[in-house]
Amino acid sequence: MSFGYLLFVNTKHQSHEYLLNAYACALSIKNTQREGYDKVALVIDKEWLLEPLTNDWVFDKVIEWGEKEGWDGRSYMDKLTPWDETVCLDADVLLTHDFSHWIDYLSDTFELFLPSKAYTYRGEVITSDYYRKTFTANKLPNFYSLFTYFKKESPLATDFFTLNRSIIDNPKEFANMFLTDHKPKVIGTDEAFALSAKILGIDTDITHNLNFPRIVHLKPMIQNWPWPANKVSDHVGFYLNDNCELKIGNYQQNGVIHYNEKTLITKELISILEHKAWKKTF
Amino acid sequence: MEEDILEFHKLLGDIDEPVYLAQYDPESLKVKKVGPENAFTDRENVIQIDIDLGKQICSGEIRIGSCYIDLHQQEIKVSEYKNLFKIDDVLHRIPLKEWFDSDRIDLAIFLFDNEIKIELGEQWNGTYMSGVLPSKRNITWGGDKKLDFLITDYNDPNIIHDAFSVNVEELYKKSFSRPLKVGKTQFSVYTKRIFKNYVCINNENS
Repeated sequence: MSFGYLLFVNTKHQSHEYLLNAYACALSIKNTQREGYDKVALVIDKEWLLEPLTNDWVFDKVIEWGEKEGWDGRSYMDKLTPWDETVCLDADVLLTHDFSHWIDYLSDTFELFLPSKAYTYRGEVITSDYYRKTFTANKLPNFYSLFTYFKKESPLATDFFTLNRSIIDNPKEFANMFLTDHKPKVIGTDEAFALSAKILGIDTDITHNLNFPRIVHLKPMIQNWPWPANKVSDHVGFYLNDNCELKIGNYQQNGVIHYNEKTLITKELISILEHKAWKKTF
Repeated sequence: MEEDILEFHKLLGDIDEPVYLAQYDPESLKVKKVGPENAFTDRENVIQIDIDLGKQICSGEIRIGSCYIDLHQQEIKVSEYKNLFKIDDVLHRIPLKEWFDSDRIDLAIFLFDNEIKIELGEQWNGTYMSGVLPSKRNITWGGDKKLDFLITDYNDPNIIHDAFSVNVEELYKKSFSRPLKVGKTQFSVYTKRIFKNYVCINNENS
């Protein structure tokens, strides 16, 4: 059985910063995950874009595929993954610790898994639905698609992703039928995944109420701050030291960091991640 | 009939460059209005300003809300006033020159083995020449003139090894040096941001 992470980059409607984000994500996987749990596959619409990257070996498999634009390609993750068991991550994510024990648990317990809890950078459970009015109004399960675990041969996962592709291809029809109490401007991956699970009636089968995977979600208005915010980085610093340990403000991070701000990944930060990857690998 | 051809440069020669004026509030010394001379009917509390500065304010390059009149000097000039409002302003990590994109440097910190040297950019009456022609501006320092610096763990201001302050006036026309007390080869320098562009320069890069 093979296990690996899967990342998507589509440059048609996403800036090239996403490729740097995915590169940083892959480096963080190589730096933190133990052998057998550190494989990364990248789905990208133009493979030649990888040429300027110093260490494109961090992508163990590269799949050139651009049939769907933007995030829509993620609903094909079950068809595109080269692994038997996969965790599909958003590109703007960093892993801070070895999470292989989570993967073992998920593999033993689930065919398909989506986290239903997220945390602020201070470790508080996010309860605000500021960015999730559609979820509350339409009683959708509160899933975060940025960390999606699935088994490739699972019939449950196949049904889930097949329905998900129908939703992405026919957003108006599904919104008119199922999201009448609050229609989102765009049906994103989170909404599509939650709606698929609700329609299939599997929303309680594909998640749990435990405190892992520990998703730290850095959207600004859900950080339990008593003031409005446009960007998290306006209010707290993002500090990656030379050992790739991350602090946000004065909080040491130990989860899956979904940082959201594409420009946080600077050349210097990439260089820190690369140095650690070289030391670990060579 | 012969056609008269006008000499365009002669026509231009007859046109005077516009004079730019600034009108200010006499109580707060805040600039209220900036524009070419013919836009002003009321000439009370009005001074003439540099044409380039006037154009920069009119185009929004310099915010009119951040401009004050400095009456303390013999000459009356427009000055800029800075506000602090982001974490990067109050706790700004000064990047190494190799990671710094802009040509314009307002304050440079030279890191030697046992010493740290600070120079202000020549556009602020300092000694550091960044190679870009400076456009000198006057500053009215609102309140604190202290530049605070922290020597910390690499990219981690939570672990502080040393702290010191420099008065901005100590950097006019001269540099400031002090011993560097840090037991690590890799460290960072953080500051409360008063200027836009700070940079650290390693000894071997200088």
